[in-house]
Amino acid sequence: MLRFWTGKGLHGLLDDSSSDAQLAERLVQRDECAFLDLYDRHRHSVHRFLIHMSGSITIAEELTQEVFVIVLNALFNGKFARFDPKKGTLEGYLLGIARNLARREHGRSVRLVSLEGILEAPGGKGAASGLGQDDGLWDDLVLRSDVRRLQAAILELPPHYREVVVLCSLQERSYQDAARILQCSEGTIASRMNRARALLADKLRTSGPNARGTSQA
Amino acid sequence: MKTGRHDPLESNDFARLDQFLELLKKVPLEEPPSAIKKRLNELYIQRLKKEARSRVHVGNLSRKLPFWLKPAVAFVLLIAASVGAMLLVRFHGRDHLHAGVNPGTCLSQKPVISGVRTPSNTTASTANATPAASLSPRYYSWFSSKVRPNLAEMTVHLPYSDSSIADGTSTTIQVSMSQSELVSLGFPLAEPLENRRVLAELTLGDDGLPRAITLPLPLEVIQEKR
Repeated sequence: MLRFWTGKGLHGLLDDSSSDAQLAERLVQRDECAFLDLYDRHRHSVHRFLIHMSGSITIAEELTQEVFVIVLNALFNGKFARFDPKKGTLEGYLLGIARNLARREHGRSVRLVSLEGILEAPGGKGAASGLGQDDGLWDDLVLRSDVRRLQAAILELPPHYREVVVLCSLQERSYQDAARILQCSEGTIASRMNRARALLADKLRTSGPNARGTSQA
Repeated sequence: MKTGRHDPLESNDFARLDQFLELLKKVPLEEPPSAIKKRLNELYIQRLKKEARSRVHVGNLSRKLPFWLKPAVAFVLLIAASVGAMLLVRFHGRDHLHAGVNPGTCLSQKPVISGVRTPSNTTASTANATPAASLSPRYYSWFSSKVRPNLAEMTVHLPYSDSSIADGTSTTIQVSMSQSELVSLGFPLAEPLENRRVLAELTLGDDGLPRAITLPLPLEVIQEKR
């Protein structure tokens, strides 16, 4: 069960905890390579989270950099010393910062959200190419359309539902980790998850090619 | 589960949602550009160097002097601070003395004490005596450093009074005395001025002889008329 939610298993969790402690110690000791190690280890997770939260690769790149700049500042003004590896992981620490930045960005609501950027990323790594090779049942166009509708539906969710979906469904975080990152109880996470799934399922049903919600109402 | 005006969601809807979520999870997203990593690394190195420079700067300040010279420098600094503090206190007290002179309130030119024999010719006026206040540091600087007065009372007992008579010294009269007289009686005034008189309190015994002279604080200084 634990493995199901974390995707790593108990050993992976313990390894992360010990390596987080070592990395945090190296950061405090001003190891020249420590900060790059931190970036290399967690950049993908932070970037992916921010892409799903913002819906824009450009914004996600800016916010990813900002997350690590905030950590850098915390490192040199002493605030990073408050990080306790026993209470949480470095990834959770970074995702907590990323979540706050994503909320701030959502509050501005002046930037344009570019879904095309996610699904048709440069270099041929778009959703269609990746999905089409994995699953022969779906046509490229249908796949692209469905995934795009799902992404649009996720972006339309209220932020507190979107965070839970992104963390637990797309980032494979456990309820416990999500609760720690979002600073709420596991019960709240479970409740939000159920509500978010219902909202997403409803949106997919009503916006799909075989939409029946409004026609049958 | 009811969602608005639509039909209840079915298990197929959730199954489709899970399927799409699984597909979206598999979408290979772009890595953040390498320029970010480069910028962050430059920023980190820059901050490390800045921190190292600040540490070296603090270290250099303490390493410029030879170790044997450090106590000497500290001693010289301590002496200089002490001298400065003493000068400051002295000048501050002198300023206060000049500020307290009120030349317009001269009581009399010729000392007369009615019905009382005094060791010197002083001006007398009957008034209620007030107890001497404790001497504050700024008044203390006005007195000579050679003779330290009784700070609590500022009272000088007269040498020819009969010390065997301890009781009955309740009569007090106010007099004005020149500063030179006060100095001759033992008041440690640092820089007595000839044309200045100071209001003092004369304590009389039952035998009619003066027992002591008390300077009420703060001092009241008046200018003598010629």
